[in-house]
Amino acid sequence: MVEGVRRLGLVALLAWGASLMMPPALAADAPLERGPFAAALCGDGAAQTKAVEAFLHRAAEAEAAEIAWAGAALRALLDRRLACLGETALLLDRTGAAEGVEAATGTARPAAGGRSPVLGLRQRALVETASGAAALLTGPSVEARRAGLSILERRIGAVPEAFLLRAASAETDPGLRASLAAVAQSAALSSPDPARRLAAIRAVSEAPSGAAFSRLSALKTDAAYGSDPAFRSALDAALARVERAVSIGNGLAVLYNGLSFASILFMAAAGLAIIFGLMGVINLAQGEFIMIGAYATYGVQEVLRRLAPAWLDAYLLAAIPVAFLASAGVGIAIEALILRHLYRRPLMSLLATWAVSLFLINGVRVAVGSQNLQFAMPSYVSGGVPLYADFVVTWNRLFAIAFAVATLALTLVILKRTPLGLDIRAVTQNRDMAACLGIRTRRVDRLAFGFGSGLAGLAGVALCPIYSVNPGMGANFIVDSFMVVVLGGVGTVAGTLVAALGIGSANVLIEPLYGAVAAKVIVLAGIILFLQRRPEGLFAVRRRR
Amino acid sequence: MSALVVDSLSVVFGAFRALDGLSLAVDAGEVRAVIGPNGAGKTTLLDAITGITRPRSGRIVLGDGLDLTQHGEAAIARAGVRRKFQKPSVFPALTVRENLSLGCGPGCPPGAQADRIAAALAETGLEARAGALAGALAHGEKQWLEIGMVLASEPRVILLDEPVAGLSDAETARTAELIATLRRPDRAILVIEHDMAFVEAVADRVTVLHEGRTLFEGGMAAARADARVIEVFLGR
Repeated sequence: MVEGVRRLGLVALLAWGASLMMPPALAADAPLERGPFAAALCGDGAAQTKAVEAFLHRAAEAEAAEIAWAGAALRALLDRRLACLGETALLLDRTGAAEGVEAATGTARPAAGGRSPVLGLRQRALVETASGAAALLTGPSVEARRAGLSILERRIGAVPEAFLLRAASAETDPGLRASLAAVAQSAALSSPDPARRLAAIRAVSEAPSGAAFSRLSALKTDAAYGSDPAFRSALDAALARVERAVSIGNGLAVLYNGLSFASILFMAAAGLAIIFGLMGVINLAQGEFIMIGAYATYGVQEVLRRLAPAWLDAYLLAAIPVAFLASAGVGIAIEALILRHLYRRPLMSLLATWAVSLFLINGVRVAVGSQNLQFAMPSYVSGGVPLYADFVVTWNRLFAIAFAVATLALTLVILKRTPLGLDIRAVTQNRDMAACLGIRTRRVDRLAFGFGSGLAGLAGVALCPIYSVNPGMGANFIVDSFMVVVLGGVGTVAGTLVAALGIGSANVLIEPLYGAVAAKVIVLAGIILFLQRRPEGLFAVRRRR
Repeated sequence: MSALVVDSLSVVFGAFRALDGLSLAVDAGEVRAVIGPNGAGKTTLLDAITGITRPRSGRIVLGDGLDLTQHGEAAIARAGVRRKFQKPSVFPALTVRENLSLGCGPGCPPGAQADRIAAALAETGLEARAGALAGALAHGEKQWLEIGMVLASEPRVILLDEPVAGLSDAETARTAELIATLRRPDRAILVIEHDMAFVEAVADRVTVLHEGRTLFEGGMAAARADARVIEVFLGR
């Protein structure tokens, strides 16, 4: 019995929806006749409603000139610039003007004795919508069309879908076209026609995003969710699909952020690993070499801004050699002045590099100031490409990743293909034996220290578009860099790479769950446990000392 | 003429005199073996020549008058004095070819490097293993690789520290042949070895060390007959 009643209700609902779909007979074929239309505007509320509704339904196919004319008449009606003289309507320039033009023919006539019809509340809203539709389709400027759209949005249910499609295909401004599509979609979602709603739900779930999810979940409060099982199952399926896609997209975004963080870590840690592997020097100033690289980038930007503003966008690329040489130069100077005297005294060299790091931080504070540096973002590192759901491949992070890949290639080529690289590997494995073969180990040390510092400088360039640049920035990276070196195994590029990826991703994965501090603690605890099992790290070079 | 002259060399470790006024001259084109019981100072002598150990007094002079006691190990190596260590000392994580190119050394003319590596590979018979990691080689192959590394630098003085220790008889014979091919008129070769048959096969003359001093110098046959040498080796 209850079942029967429900089925009956459903049939009634469908029939009602179908009747709404059916355009009024008047609109189906009759072209807009100016005379009767103007007369209807002068008529009573029912006549006005009928004429304006008919116009709205025709608007999807009518010619632009016709729509523009109707739009002007509707605008005049709204502004009380429409004077009715019997069956004819006059358009006035302003309210109460003495003379106007006949709406239907354009002939000038005195307006004396005309009355301006006053719109009822319901009619006013309808006329506003219709005039907005006319403005959206025939407005001369983007602003006028956008204003028309914002009027339409208020009563979107009264606007036929075909009209929105026409407006979208005719629109030239991409921004406005996107907002039109969004309006059309939400119109379809709240449409009284169930088939159209289902199609819209499917369409929304085709392009999953966080916004789509909230738009769909808002429909759960809709009456149809409780009463219409088809609607309910379609909405639930769409929600599940969007939710899955959004979580995949968020997962991808986390991995992507982890990858970019790992890229910076790798560049900082590769230099560290080379230096520690070669000389046994624990270089606590490596973070400050990153900082020097970033400040060198800022310097290049400022020089370009003064001397060649047209080339300002190229500063990130121009800074690559400058930052490398600046950090390498400072590194070589520190090696020659301080560390050379402290070889084979690891504790002393550790303390000395810490002192150097404090000196560099405060030197930059005094010379430049402690505020964050302002970087102009060139076009190639701003924005991004939406890839899947809410996952956007941002250019600035892609820049860092590509940069790290290039650095990895450069490091491998230098270590594996050049005489210096062979010397570095030989001295790393067995310093005494390398000396017996006539290798100038001190010179190799100095060059390798410069190279390692230069790699940190490159990391400084890569992080400029992502992280804030200030004198104390190195501290954010130095601890993670050391964890990378220890985990990866000393003196191996492959180990450094794998460990950087692991630690970078782990940090970024844990951070949203338990916070940044807990992420560091958990990662550190994990590394300590791992080193209990494998004290030599992931990849260890067999060597003698 | 002498390629390497050791002149009243003394090396002291605390109270222990490892070398006590030792004098020795090796001619160019000669293969000289240094033998002696454990602790006689053989390896210390090589350490002093290659600059690893600083002598208390005395001089070590190359044929052209360069005093090696005044220079560091890298400079001595660059001057053309190359040593094969007792324990095979190759870079295990580098390939055979990379080891040889390191052996060629920094003084190696870039154009000649490929030829010298090819020659060293051919002489040591390691051509097939050129791309292998040195750590993966057998013990005998490591010994030959190290000799190849010495060869690649075309040294004036070659010091070989127990080149056949731990080798099989076949490998020992092969090493003896290899050393015979190293002999050149402008090159002095100094071998330390316990294997008397091997010494007899490769050396022109032997120097017997005992307690840091020269006990005997001459041919191998004469050394075998010398009463003091027998006493030192066999005990009183």
